[in-house]
Amino acid sequence: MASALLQVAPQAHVEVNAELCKGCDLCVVVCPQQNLRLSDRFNRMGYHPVEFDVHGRKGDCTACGLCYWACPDFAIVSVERRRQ
Amino acid sequence: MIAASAPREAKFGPSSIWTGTPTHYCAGCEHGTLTHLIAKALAERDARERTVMVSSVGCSVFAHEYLDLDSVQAPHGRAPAVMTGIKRAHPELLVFSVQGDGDAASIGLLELLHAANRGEPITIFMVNNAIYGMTGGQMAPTTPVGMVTTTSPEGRSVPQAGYPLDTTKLVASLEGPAYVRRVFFPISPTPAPDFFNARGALEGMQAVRHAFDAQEKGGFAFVEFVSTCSVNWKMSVLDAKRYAAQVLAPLFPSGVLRDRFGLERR
Repeated sequence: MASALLQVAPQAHVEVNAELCKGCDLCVVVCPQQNLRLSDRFNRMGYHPVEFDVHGRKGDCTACGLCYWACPDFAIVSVERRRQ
Repeated sequence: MIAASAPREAKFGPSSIWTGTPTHYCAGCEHGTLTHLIAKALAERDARERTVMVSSVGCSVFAHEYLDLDSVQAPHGRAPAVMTGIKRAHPELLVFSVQGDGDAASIGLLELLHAANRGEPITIFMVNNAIYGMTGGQMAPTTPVGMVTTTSPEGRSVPQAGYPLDTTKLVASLEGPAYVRRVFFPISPTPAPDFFNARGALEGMQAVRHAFDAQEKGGFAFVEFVSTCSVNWKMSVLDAKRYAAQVLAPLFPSGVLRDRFGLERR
């Protein structure tokens, strides 16, 4: 029952614009669930942009929005809950 | 306060006031965060068509590239004087400036203090990163004692350069201002290793909203954002945040120093 409910519950999603990201690490260190990390690839500006994974190292994303407030470069475009 | 007719912005979505241009700020700079907060606050109150931004000289000078607002470029430090003129000619407009500590606390201190003393209904945001950022890291009036800069290679010494200037306290000592606040703006370290809290940004959002509220009620609003400059402090981004929490936070304690309209009580 619980697992069925979890499947239909909207999933949190953080949309990152990798081309605006300067890889400053701020969103990575404020994320309580550690859903964000710097990727190995480069963006057009030559930085390692941040990547979002809904399954973080400490748990799933809760759409708290801390990364959104911490980002200095408008790169966290939106934080929302999406229907799957 | 959000007007009832204002279009509802997504809580964590792109602001309609942002132009979409990537910022020129260095990675992890608080200037970008403040630009974002101002874009959010102005979009919330649907004030795009009645806002004039006065750009100062410093890293904030290109803010007109990122905020889709009417703007005027003021001479170095003279943003409060330009804002006074705009506000007196058009009292219905919302005017604000983003100034640095080299602009507001050094060359433009006179303009700032007199505008504050007259109680002009304008809003000034001052980003205090304790250094002249854009010109390459020279010592500013706000540099803490002992900090190494390009013009104080052995650290700021008191006999030679005096003590760091507490601009917010100076402004709050006057009778004129209606809203004076200092926010410790960077993300700050927590006891957990490699985990920082973003309280500064949330506090900053509240301060930006209240500063605009105070202007609309006819008062002078001044908010200082204690920030970092990792490039000119010659540190990594996170080390700069740690240094700011260690050295700048006790030197420039955050708090509301003046709140004449009771904005914080709501």
